[in-house]
Amino acid sequence: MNFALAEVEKNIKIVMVYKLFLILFFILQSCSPPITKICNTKISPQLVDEINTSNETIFEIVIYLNDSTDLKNDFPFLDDVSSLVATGRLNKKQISLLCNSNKIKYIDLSKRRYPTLN
Amino acid sequence: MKTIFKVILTVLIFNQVFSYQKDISKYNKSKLDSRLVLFFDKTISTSQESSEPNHSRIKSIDKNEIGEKLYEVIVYLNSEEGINDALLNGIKINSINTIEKTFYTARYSLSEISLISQLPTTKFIEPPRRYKSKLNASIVEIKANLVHSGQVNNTQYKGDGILIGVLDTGIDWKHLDFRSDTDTTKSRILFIWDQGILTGTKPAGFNYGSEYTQAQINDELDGTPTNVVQQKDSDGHGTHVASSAAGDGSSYATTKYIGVAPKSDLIIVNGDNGSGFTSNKIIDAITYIRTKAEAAGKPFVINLSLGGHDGSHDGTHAEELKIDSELGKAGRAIVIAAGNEGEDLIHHDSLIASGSVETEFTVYQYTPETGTNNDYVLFSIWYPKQFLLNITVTTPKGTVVTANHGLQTTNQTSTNEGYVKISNANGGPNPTNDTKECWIEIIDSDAGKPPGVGVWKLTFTLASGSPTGATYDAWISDFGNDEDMWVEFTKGSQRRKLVAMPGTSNKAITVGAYVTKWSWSSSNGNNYNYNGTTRLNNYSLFSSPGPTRTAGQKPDISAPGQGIAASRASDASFEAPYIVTGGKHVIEQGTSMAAPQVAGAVALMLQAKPALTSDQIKALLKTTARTDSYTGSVWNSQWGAGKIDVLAAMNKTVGIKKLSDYLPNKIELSQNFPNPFNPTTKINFLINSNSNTKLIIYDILGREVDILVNEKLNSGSYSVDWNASKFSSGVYYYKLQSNNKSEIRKMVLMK
Repeated sequence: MNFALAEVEKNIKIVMVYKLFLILFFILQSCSPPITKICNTKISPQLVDEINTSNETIFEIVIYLNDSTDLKNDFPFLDDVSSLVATGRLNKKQISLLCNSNKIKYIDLSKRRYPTLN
Repeated sequence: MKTIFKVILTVLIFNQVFSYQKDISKYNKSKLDSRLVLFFDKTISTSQESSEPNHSRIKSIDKNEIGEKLYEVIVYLNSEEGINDALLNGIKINSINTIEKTFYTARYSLSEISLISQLPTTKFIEPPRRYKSKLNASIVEIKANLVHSGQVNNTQYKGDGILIGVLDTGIDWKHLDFRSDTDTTKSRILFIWDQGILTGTKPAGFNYGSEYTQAQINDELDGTPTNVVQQKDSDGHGTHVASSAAGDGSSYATTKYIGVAPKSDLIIVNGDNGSGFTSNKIIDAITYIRTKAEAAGKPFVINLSLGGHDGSHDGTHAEELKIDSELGKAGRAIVIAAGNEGEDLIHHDSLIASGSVETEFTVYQYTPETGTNNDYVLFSIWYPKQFLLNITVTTPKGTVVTANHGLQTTNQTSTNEGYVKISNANGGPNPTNDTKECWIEIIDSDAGKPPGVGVWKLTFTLASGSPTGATYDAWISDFGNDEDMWVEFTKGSQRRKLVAMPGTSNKAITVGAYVTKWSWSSSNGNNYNYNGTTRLNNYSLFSSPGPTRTAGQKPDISAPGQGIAASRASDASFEAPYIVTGGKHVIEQGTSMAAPQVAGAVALMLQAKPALTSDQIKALLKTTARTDSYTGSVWNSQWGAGKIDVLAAMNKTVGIKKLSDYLPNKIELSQNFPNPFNPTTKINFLINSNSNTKLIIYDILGREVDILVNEKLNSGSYSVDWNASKFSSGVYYYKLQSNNKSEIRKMVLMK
């Protein structure tokens, strides 16, 4: 009997520790460093500002490349990959992932162009 | 040496005069139209073929191989034998009235007219009547109509087999101007990708938008089934642009409003979601069009009648790098509008010798929008990386906001006249061009604080430790609300560096606008014209001048861009005065209208030579562009290389002809013929291996003035014509380079 109780207590402790880990994991997740820490000089100030201040969750971006090899495989969420540039409509997490790649040179907010009708 | 030359020249002239008297004096007066009789008599008495006025029916349009002027004539016959008589006498015939063979047309020298008039089978010879074109002004102005009619290489070039991609506001795919000329239930639009419609089938390789195929469009046109193609052009801009490049004008009698390449096929991308195009989607559109063209195995040209000023204006932004990288292969070109900021004071540049420089901009009276973040002014400022600049904004009421070098204003700085935010190279130099960027945003983050009306100051100060002599360029890159905001520099603005991006891309063909129509007849029966004094033949005031920020030559060329009538989208609304007779076409203006005419011209060139590279196409367009008293000397920052001349560009495109596959053992450059010449001469040459070949013309000072050949040629015998009509009399040299060998010869242009 005592043995059984000890087993139950042990299992409860394991579950508790597991839960604690989970909670810690989610806390760490929510406290992920700001994008400027991750991307440093790889991201344009304009895009940083847009991420920090706008209500949008998806950002239209252009990506300057050091190397385009297999980039679409590495990051299937990208829209288009050419030799020098790539494009995407990405969330903050996807942008952070890009920053960790040596194949990425610089990420900028997409610029706006207008019909040249006078 | 000079004496010998004079003697030879005198003999040549004497021979020429003698031959006229010998050959043309025997003409049969009774068989010539009275205008020709007068012309013959005048020529015989003066020993000189005079130039007739423009309205005359007798006009020399070319020269034959021995330098005699050629005149267009119609020869009426007493019998069919007249055709054989002409041919037996070695005289060429252009076209024969094949039904009754009672007349034929030809291009004859006076001696040939004289000979033909003496034949018993000849009934009468007259010069052709001249009819004023009923085509829209711009098509005639750029001479595309002459290319359509077969004046180049006896071929009617209309863009057959070429794809024109148009990224714009969509297209009225039902419009008759985009149908097949043989079956009007079939469209010439191969694909439409609407980047904003999310309910349809996404195109392969892209995870957004809806793609519609030619088969689906054709189903809509023949009525089985319908309601599949959801794309609409509710703006009308895209339909107009596509029509100027590729419309066949068939929706109105006489095809008056025909485009430049009316038989080309179209790929349309609608990239405008109502608030402009974004550069990522421009890049995607280019990939999409290129992929479709490659799959079809066809050469293509893409037209981009769009632009903006957020960026460095030096060809290094993402969509510009994309454009340049796509143009590395043959059979491709991209044409871009230069922009319409020619009258807008949105650019300022300066040198800071020491201390600081202050400029001013004015926000004029406007009605703020309700809500937040919808009234704003944006600046894009660039300066070399070695300088340290502090940048200060002072509001009309005196609030000062500064971002020292390498920093940004930490939070939006609230003033009573809008929130001011400055980011001053705080990320270091922009790695895309190694240049420092500062951007400024003045915005109504609070609804009660829109950008203040009045005069603002912008101050650039050399920071401690900065080298002196700093330079910078500042653009008001955007401003607005949906109503009436207007912002401009009111101190220190210069009318330069106004070509919009991506028109600053290196390899693209960037197009400015000039005026070919100042007034027009509307479908409401009234005549209208633009305000102010006519600017016919002059540049459009709105057309953005270059150069780029880094002194690159942009625009490349100019085309008609004001008073342009082209297809009217049925889903767009236009004011009645702009809708022209017939109701299917509408008048618009802008470099948006100029660019597609050049894109159409490129389609014609690619039809003639599908392997042309983008650089070759640009060189052909620029070296054949027309200059006049309006353009002045070129290249200049307003006109580029001058006014596009499609006929001349096409003549030069097809100019090089392979005569045989003869394999010589060395390269050989023949003496041009005729020589001296005016204004055209023929140059023959041989090359002994498949290699990159150049034939370049130099003036007497050794300056390169024209490039006749610059392409990879197979070994063989070739001939090329040089039209020197835009060059002055004098000695010129022509140099053949092939397979690391070269030869040079001299020729004389005498006008």
